[in-house]
Amino acid sequence: MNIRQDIKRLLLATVLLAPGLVHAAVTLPALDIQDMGSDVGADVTSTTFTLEATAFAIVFDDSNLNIDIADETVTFTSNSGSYDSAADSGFGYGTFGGTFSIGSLLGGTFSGLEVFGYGNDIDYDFESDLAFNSGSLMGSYTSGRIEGLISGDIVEAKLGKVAVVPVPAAAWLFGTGLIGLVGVARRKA
Amino acid sequence: MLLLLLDILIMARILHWQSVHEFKQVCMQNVQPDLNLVNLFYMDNKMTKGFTKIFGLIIALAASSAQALPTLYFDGDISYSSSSGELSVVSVLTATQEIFPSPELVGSSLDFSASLSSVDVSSSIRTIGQFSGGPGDDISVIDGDSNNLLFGEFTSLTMMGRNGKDSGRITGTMNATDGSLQSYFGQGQLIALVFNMNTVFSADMFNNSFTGNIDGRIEGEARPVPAPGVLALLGFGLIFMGIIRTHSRHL
Repeated sequence: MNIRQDIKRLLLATVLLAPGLVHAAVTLPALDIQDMGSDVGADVTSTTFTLEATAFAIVFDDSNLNIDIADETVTFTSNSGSYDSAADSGFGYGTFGGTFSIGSLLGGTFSGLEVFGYGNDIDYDFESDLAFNSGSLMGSYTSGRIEGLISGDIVEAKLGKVAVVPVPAAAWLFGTGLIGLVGVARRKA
Repeated sequence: MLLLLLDILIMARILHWQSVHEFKQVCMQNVQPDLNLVNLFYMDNKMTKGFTKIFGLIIALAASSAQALPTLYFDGDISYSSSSGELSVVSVLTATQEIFPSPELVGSSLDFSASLSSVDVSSSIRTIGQFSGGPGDDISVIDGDSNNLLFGEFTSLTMMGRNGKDSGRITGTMNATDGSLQSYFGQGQLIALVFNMNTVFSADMFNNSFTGNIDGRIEGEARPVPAPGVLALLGFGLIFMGIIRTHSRHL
């Protein structure tokens, strides 16, 4: 009887913890990154991911607080990984690792940059957790996240702190888990 | 291409110099030059000058064919109401490109809205929401000095992303209807990153309301403007031709 209850508790604890692990997002404030002027933009091939754009502002939740910064060149260069343009029912998918720099602001590495292609070799979404190892913005933060889109020559991206947040389905699991926990507690009582 | 044209122009001028030099030498040797030779020289001289003028014109045209893309960059918040089916964006301008004079960004606004018309769930990989504009203007852009920069109507607006992800994109096209920048954005293109949403892309995402952040741009129509590098080349060519002309008059 005690073993069964322990198993139930273990399962419920797993369900309660699960929501916090499934979903990561870039939170504001974040660096605003776009291709501007003579930036090369991004290029995705079967074996490489490269990006050159400009970081030009820090954006906040309250748009009125946005801060313009001196333009800094953003580069991402892969040194491992691959991309398959028809990996998933006509949609492309790949992962890359490599190094990045944002002028003197930040530098570091990425190891799981996901690239999702819309099947036309023009439009891609990308996202990755980042490990910082240099730069004036690094401060006490040693990790972050970038999310962005590529559309031909266009690059739009945000780079900021990473947040782990529950998604609705996981939140539902969280709720039912709580109800289950209350039920078990009442039965025990 | 431009360098090739410049090379041809310079070669034509060198040929012209050579023929002038040869004619001078003949004149120095003969007190009365042969009329046929004079006619030949003038024919050659005319052809060379015509040749250089044509290529000068081509270079001038090439210089003016550089394209500038007027762009408004914006950042803000996005929200969708499942009860009304309306997608709303409230944002501010963060930068502009190829727009003169530059509008005041502090205190500016770029807002738009559209109504959900259909959801494409034909693929299990991604979800696409199609939106349409309402009656009147769907988008408004006002600068920090309260100048009406741009008003327009969407001809298409799509929100799509990979299922399971909290970020995706909005793309659209618009017709500019009013505002001081109307001529820049006759047929504008909108593209934006949607991120930090409190939902994820899925077949039923539009059954519930959601919010998030948006970061994007509206690109106007490409406008022909002389590129600085090409302008310098053109200026150099004009100075060069001026020197040649002065030099020819002294002969």
